[in-house]
Amino acid sequence: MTTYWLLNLAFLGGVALVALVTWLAHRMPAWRLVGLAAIPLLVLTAVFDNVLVGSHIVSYDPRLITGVFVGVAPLEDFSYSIAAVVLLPCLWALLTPRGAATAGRGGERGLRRPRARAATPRSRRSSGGEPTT
Amino acid sequence: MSFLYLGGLLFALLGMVVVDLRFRLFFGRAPLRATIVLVLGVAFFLGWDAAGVGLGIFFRGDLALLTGVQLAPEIPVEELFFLVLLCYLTMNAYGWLSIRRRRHVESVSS
Repeated sequence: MTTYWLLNLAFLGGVALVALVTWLAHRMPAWRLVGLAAIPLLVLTAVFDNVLVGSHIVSYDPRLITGVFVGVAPLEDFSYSIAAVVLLPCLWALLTPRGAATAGRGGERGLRRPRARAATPRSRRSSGGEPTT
Repeated sequence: MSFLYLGGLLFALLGMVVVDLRFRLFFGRAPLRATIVLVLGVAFFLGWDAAGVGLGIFFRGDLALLTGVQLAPEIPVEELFFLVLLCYLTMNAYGWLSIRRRRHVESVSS
């Protein structure tokens, strides 16, 4: 019997694959912001899901969930929010035109850190096959 | 039959649109890119839902708060709007944090 966690593992695996692609393509989203965005999202999910489950809009087969709940919402449901907050910024980053992405990110890094330090990751990255334009 | 849940979702979505356009977070920033990201995201989650329903893990409950319009067996039309809201909220939050960081960086550098 496929449990809810097993199902989530498969779909979260798909999300991890997309994240891997952003890494390989040097187009990763700002992970710190992904982490920060996850906080309000998980809080709102807890509230919203409790209303949904509490008002019997959705029900679960008790044999296929672990029985760990946040209020009345099964913990498994939070996989959706985790997937959303990783998958969507990854897709956004992948679809951001190369020029816009590097100008934005490179510019920000250059401004935040001294130039001497900013040069190190740039040279490392260019040796990784990225065209130096 | 009730429009309570659907109405609530649409109200929340309206809020998402207002915040998005006002602060240029998602569609207000890059409409085409936002459309593609939203469509891909919602399609992904509908697939997840369909798999869960197919495996008998979760299913629709009472009709008391739903319109009764179904996208598929056990998937009410409200689920589509819920998934759009989930994706929209995610990208509004990420977009808001992105512009906040950019402003912070600019203020630090000037």
